[in-house]
Amino acid sequence: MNHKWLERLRNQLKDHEEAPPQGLWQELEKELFKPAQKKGIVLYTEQVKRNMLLFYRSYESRAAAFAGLLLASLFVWTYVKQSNHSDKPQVAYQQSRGEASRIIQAPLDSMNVLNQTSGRELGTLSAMESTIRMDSDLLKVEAADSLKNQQPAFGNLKKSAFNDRRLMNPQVLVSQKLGIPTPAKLKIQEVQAKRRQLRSTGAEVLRRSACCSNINFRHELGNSDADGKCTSRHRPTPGECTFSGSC
Amino acid sequence: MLKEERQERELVDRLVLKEPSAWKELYDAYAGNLSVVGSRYLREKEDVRDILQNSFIKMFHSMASFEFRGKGSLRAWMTQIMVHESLKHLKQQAKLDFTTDVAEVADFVSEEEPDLELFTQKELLGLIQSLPLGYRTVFNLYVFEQKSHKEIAMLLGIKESSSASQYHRAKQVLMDKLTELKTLKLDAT
Repeated sequence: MNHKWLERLRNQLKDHEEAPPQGLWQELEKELFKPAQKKGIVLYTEQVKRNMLLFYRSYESRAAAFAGLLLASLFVWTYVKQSNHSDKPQVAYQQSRGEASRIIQAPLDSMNVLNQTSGRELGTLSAMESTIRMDSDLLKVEAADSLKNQQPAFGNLKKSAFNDRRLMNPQVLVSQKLGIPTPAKLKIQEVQAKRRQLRSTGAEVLRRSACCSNINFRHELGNSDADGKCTSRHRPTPGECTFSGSC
Repeated sequence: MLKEERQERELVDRLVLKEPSAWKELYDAYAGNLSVVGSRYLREKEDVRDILQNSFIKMFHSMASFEFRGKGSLRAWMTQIMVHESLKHLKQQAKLDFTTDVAEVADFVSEEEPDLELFTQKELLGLIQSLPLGYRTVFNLYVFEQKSHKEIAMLLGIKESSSASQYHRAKQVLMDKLTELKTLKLDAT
């Protein structure tokens, strides 16, 4: 019995068929396809998916999503507003080449944060704080002077300034009205002298403090020039605090 | 040829999607042939029926793992499952015995190769079915499934030499039966 004979035997029976057992397909059909329908898991899942899809597409779901978004926005706004009102806002000016350019309200309490974080520089900072206060006053004075130069008549100022929300601070108006006499110049000299003194002792601390003191402008961290003034600035969002690192 | 291959591939795609019509088509096309495969291993019709049913269920659940490799690959895969199920059934029934009938057939020596054209498919299948179970199983695996003795030994849990001797004796018995049948046919004519 060689392999060719065996191969012939194999080929002869290769296509041989018998009638399949009767009723087997019906049993198989029940076994293979009906259980899935009986279980109903697939259909249920599909139904659930379909319902979810319909819900996502419905106006109710969109309205719910919009309401949720609105509530979240309201909450954030309220929180920010509360945090702003809890601090005493201070208004100041910075004079830039003879123009009272901008005014931004911001909490000075960030200075307290700075004090807490750098306990070793406490003495320097307390001195610095007084400088900052003076500096702030000085800026107000300078801004008021500038306004006075630009707006000779109070009436004109009233017209323009009152339309501008930034100029609604009574301190500024009072300074404007009073004309801010020469004591301001004295203060300028005094502050400048203190600045020089501090610069000589600790330029870095001064730079940081100046940056932090000029919170009217909410400078970006790490950008300050040799005079301690921050060079880059951006309008912060309400409640934003940028004094978390070195300025 | 290509058309047939394309049709087979399309059928496979539908089978994977578990389309009832595709599975009916598969059953109609291959159930008869798979019945013959089962009958080579199992004599009882009821056993063949059970094995065929189990095989189709197994195919249904493992269809996604089937890899189409051209025309005939589907049939080969199905046959493999059918053979595997048949062997499993034999093992479960503890019907496999490779020690029986060895002494009885030891004296059969036939060098003649009967002309297969003289026999019908049914007759050939009947002769194979008449072989002792151990012989039949090894013979089927070696001749029709083209397994090596090493593979057969692993499948049946026997020694490789045992598989070879079983096959040798199986073909001796088959040759003798074929010669006998041939003689009967010639006498009848």
